[in-house]
Amino acid sequence: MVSLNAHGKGEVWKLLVLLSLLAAPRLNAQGAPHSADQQRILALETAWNQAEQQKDAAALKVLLGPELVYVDYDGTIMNKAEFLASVQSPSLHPERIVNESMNVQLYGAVAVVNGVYRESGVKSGKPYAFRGRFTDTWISARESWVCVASQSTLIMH
Amino acid sequence: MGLAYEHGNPRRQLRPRAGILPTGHFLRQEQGPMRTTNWLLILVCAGSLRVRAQEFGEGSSATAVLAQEHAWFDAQARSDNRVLDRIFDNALVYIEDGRLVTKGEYLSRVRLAGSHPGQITVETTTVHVFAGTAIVVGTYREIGVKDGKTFLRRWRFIDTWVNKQGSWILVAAGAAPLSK
Repeated sequence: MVSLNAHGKGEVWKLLVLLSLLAAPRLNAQGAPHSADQQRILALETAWNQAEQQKDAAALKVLLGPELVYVDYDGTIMNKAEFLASVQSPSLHPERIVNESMNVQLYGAVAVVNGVYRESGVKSGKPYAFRGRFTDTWISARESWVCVASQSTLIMH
Repeated sequence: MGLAYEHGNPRRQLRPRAGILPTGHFLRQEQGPMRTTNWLLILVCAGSLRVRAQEFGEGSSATAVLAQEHAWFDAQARSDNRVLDRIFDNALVYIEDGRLVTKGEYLSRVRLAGSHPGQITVETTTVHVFAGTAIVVGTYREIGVKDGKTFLRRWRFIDTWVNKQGSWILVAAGAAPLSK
């Protein structure tokens, strides 16, 4: 899928395994237990936040499909390379990215996740904070899941 | 992993996309502060299908997805909730201005509001086809009237379609305002 150096790959999988182990049984919006795939995808969403917060491009490369379509809250569209570059921008320092709520809908080898996230940090020397709603589409690939589309919009109210 | 198909030249009329976005616009009209007073016309502009990668199966999927978007537009324009009900998945995730709109809420608004023509011009559309999944992304221009003044806004939309038992069903959709 994506080549990683040994060091980066080791860290990534350590992180993913840790998240999987820590993921307590959750309930979905309907109150039913999440399936293993749903729990795994939720863990991947959390891993995404952590990787983005730590500017860990190696981890993000694993999580994102090669043909990722990313639409940011300001309408900017990015492919995978552009998104990774934006995450690594020296002027951006996200300090906290957390998901407040998530719901996973499975369609066989496709999963749609929607949720609310809160992000704060420093950009170009100025502090920022916002809350947004995201929708991600994941597809199953080689016994794993990769995100192929992501969109976020700001919550104004 | 996937293939991409583009709709480019907006001079050639074809694009059925307007269904989603006028709807989003219409929904915002109903509840948001940006209240448009008059929907006049829906313009659908699109271009010839440019296929980056050649593969009949994937190409026909892209065509089928665009046909579904057309069906959405048509049904929206006619306030035909029966058709919309078939096109939308029951767990549809529709995002407007950071708010989640369920399928039930969406259909309810369509039923209550009836037909409200607006002016929407789709500028570009690209379909990315994966196995059993299609991502449609593009931009559109909206012209409306607020407080007696005409405004122009541009949006970026992204839709997710899933093939369920041979039919393409919309499972997620949303648009973000373009800041530039």
